[in-house]
Amino acid sequence: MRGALIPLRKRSGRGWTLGIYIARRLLWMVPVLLFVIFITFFLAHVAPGSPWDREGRQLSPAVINNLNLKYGLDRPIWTQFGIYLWNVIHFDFGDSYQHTGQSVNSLILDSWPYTFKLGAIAFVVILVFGVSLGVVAALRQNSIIDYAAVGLATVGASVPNFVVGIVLIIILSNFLYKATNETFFLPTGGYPQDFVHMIMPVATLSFLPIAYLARLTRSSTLDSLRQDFVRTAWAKGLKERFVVTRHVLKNSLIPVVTTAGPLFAGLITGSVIVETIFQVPGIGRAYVTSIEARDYPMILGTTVLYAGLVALLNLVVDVAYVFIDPRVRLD
Amino acid sequence: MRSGNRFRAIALAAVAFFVVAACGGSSGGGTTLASTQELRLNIEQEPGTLDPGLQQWNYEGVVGIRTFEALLKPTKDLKDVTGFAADSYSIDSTGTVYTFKLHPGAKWSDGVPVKAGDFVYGYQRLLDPRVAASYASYYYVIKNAAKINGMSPTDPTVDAAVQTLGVKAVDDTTFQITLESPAGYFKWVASLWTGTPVRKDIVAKYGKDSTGVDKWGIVSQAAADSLVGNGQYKVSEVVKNDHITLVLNPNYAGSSPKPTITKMTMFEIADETVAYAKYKSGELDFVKVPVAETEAVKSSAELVKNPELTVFWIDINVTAKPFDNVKVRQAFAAAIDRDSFVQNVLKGRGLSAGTLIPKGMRNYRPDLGQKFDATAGKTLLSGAGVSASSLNGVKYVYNANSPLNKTMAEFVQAQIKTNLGVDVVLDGVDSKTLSTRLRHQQYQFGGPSGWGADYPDSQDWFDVMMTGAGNNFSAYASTTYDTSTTKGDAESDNTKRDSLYETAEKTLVADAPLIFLYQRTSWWQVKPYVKGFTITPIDYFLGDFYPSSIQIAQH
Amino acid sequence: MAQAMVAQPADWEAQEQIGLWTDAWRRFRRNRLAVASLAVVVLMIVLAAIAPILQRLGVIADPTVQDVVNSYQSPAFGHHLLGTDDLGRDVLSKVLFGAQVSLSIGILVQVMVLFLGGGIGLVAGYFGGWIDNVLMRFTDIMYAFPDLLFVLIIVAALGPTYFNILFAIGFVAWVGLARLVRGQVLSIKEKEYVEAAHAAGTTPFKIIIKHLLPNALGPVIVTLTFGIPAAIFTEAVLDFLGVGLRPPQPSWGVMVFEGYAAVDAYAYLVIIPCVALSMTMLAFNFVGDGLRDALDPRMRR
Repeated sequence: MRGALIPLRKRSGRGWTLGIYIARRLLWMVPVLLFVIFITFFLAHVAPGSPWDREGRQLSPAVINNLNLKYGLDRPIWTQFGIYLWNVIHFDFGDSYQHTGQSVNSLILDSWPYTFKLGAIAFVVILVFGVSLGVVAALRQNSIIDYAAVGLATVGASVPNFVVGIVLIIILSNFLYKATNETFFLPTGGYPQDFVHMIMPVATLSFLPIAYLARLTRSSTLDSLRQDFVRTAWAKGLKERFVVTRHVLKNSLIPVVTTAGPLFAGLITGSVIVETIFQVPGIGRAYVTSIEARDYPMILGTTVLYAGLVALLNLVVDVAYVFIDPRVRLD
Repeated sequence: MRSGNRFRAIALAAVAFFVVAACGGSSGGGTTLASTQELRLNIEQEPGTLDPGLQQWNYEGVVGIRTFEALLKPTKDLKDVTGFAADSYSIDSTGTVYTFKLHPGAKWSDGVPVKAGDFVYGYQRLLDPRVAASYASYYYVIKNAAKINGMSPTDPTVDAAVQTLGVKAVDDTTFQITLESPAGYFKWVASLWTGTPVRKDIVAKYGKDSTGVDKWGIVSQAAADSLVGNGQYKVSEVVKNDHITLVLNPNYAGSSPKPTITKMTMFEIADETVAYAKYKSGELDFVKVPVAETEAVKSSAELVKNPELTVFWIDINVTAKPFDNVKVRQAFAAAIDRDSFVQNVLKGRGLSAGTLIPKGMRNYRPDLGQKFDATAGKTLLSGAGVSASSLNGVKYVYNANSPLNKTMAEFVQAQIKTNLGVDVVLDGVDSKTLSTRLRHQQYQFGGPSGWGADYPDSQDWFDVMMTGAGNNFSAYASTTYDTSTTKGDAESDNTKRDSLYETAEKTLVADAPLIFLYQRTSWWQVKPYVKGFTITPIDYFLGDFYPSSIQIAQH
Repeated sequence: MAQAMVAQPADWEAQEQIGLWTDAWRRFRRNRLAVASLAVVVLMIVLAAIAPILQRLGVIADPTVQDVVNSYQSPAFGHHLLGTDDLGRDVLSKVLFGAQVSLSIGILVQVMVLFLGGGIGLVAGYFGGWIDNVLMRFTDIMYAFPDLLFVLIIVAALGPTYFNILFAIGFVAWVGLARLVRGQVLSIKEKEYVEAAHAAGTTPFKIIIKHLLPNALGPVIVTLTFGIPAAIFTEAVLDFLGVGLRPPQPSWGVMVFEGYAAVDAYAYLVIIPCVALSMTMLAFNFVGDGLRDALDPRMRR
């Protein structure tokens, strides 16, 4: 394969090779997604419990029978799978069981914008704070800032985000509410999505990833700082800022970029905890509640969305390698 | 992060005494009203539908009961029913024909008069197998209802069959229901919030989706705009998974007095810890108190207690070893200290229960109930010739999703160990798995399960444990119990009914397919500026049946 | 994790490698913070291990014994040092017994992740071509895997045993590390010294061990360190799905989850397990930093 590409490379250069690589990877997404659908479909149907099981008052057998007929659950499972695949090819992900009369497509389209906006903002916050904290910690190894970064990492990883969230609510909302005589406090809801409403969910969402990214950046920056060419640059008396931006940062970006891809996918598909605590009407909650409710079409719809995003963003990451480090070969 | 327990699948109707909230009482008079009369509450979860006929959960009924009026509703003291959409009703001498006089001049939210024909359509729709309404089985006492609802949805004769349902519009304001047999409790069925009138033209106008669900009741802004109800409020705003807003229905011309609250914002906060924090920060006007906060609010001036008509118990699978032996079941029932449970696990939020029927209902007989007696438990076990060690490893299945249920499970485990010397293995599962296993008797014992009154009549309760009934997870089958319950249900003489139900209760307690635990009291924090709540023990979200009296005072 | 790393020299045959590792150990010992942290980790493991003995000696209470009348007792000297929970069980004893589950799952999952994720990443990055493609598409699939459903079914089918839970968590936790290691290797393998080693006829295995592994170590250590609390909380999530270890077996993650319900009134029930977890995390961070510095090939003189 590599040999076959040589003449192409001669003719049209690097861009052409990259184009073919991207096209090939996009094609690969088809079997990946099919496989994810296959596994998820059968995992969901095999899981104990049916969508019509419930606590409290039970449905009568006649009603359950009617519901099964309505959603085609009376058919053999392979037939159901075939019908599902056929519909998916036509971008029809079926109707949700929990939300009577609503299609998975419309549920996702309704709720995704909220999650996306929150996730995208958090992503920017995480990148900016995480990377800068990490670089500073590495440049000033064993300084106060370095230890502060370790401290943040410790708390960020050891205190789960639902605890962070409720503590933020209690402090920023209750105490401020009382301290300022109800005139100023941060709202805890995620709606409407304006600046004030976003502060707390974004803070909660960003805490752990900032800590992780800072530690990762610190580690790879330390690696870069000890590279020969950086030492040479220092020795030549180049300005710190120049050395850091030109040589160090670029060389320490690979782990950051690798992590950032799936992180972005995760952030824009939502966190069930943050969405539950801060009342964000997003799809993060929809995913977990659909598993709890055995809402098969919704489980599949959200999983396929996430799978597609992960595959796509991992492709973006791989392509980004080439730009960060021109020596990296994709094949 | 689901929390608390959600057993009550249930309705909002039921029984015996009412509570005027501590914060309520002096409404009107000296109260200066706030300029904005908005009530903000947490309904915990987004309703699955706005169509009252399809609703079944508390968090759905809370919207349904305010936007639609059924024929009747319970009185404040829950002793009888009173008019809602109907002003009065009469029963003929056979006890099978109910005639309802609708409130004259009542209008839909689009200004069109409410007619008896709308009730005919509403009831027919409720029992149409293609609609698949969860609450349909309540109405099976109506002539031909069970037969129609049991038909295959694909049967071409469904349309014709639905027309045979025992409902009729005598004239525009007279609606008549014919029953299969005289059932004294039918007035309560007519007070369920699911039996509302429905506008055929509106349903037809918005059509059906691909699975045959009527689009008008879907939980979305577009559907809310098309929703036409006959209730005091109408849905004005639907924000997915965040809140639903109700505003006064400007065209309302029914029998209820005009409410003071002009806007109700119903938040869908699933996490009770978060909801509680939001109450404290002033974002909610009243909230349920999480069990863990009980001690902290015990002497709070904002505390309101509501003793619910809800009983919880442990299910026992009577079809398999070791619990196919009645003595073993009785021994376990005697080995749990319910008073300690209520005091220490529930922190006093309830009453210990030994019988199916809760305190506050007509056939409440604590004297018949199961009692804690560790010595008797041991004696029963040895009398059955079963050694404690042979029972080691018996599994208690519970919903691991609920911290309270886990705590209960751990308490039960410790009680059985202390009082019987048996090592119980705790088997936590997710809620769907639990429901499946309970329903198919794939368990030994576990729970808790519970029942909340749909309406204050014993029939609603005793039917639960009839052979083959949907919620009879024990697979309990007793001819004595079934016979006395069936006779009691059909009997119209109260004295005879009481004695029949007494037999049923005695049989149930003696056979011990259930270990009764407690009757729940819900604890609420209500902001001091919220006045005039009328609360009944079947309210799930305070003020469900009589919202007209609620006021927001100047604060 | 620290133990696993240090134990590896025995498996290695090449003389120079033994040199590298003894050298690293020497430098690690010079880092006082790292050594102190290692001592903390060892102390925690020892305390967890001897908790049953402490209980038998009467130093701590039985973590499963209920004293419902004395529930929600605040931490105080004398009776219950760290207070009691909702059923009156001693929190100190729950922390120590909980450490058995939490520390071992936290650490053993990282061992699984190191071998699965690290191995797959190294192989994919080094060999490239179709091997890389197949392994990375598999990783894409694993990323998208509905973990909740997976563990629900695994544990429903096999039973909620310690081993099955460990397996279920480890099986879904390695993907991030695999991508990370592959990214590092892709960049490192094109560097001059690797090319030189390649040209000199060094075997792929030796190149991976000698050049790629040490140079990719920084991000690996960070990821594994963060993986410890993540695995501990995953265990708690499994508990809430009903597929965790059977109660009344305590664990730190479950203690945090349960404490959350009472956070407003009894904050100590959340704070105590979080502090225990933070101390572990802090110690592992410093051990990881020390290890990283000690193993950095460029730090050798």
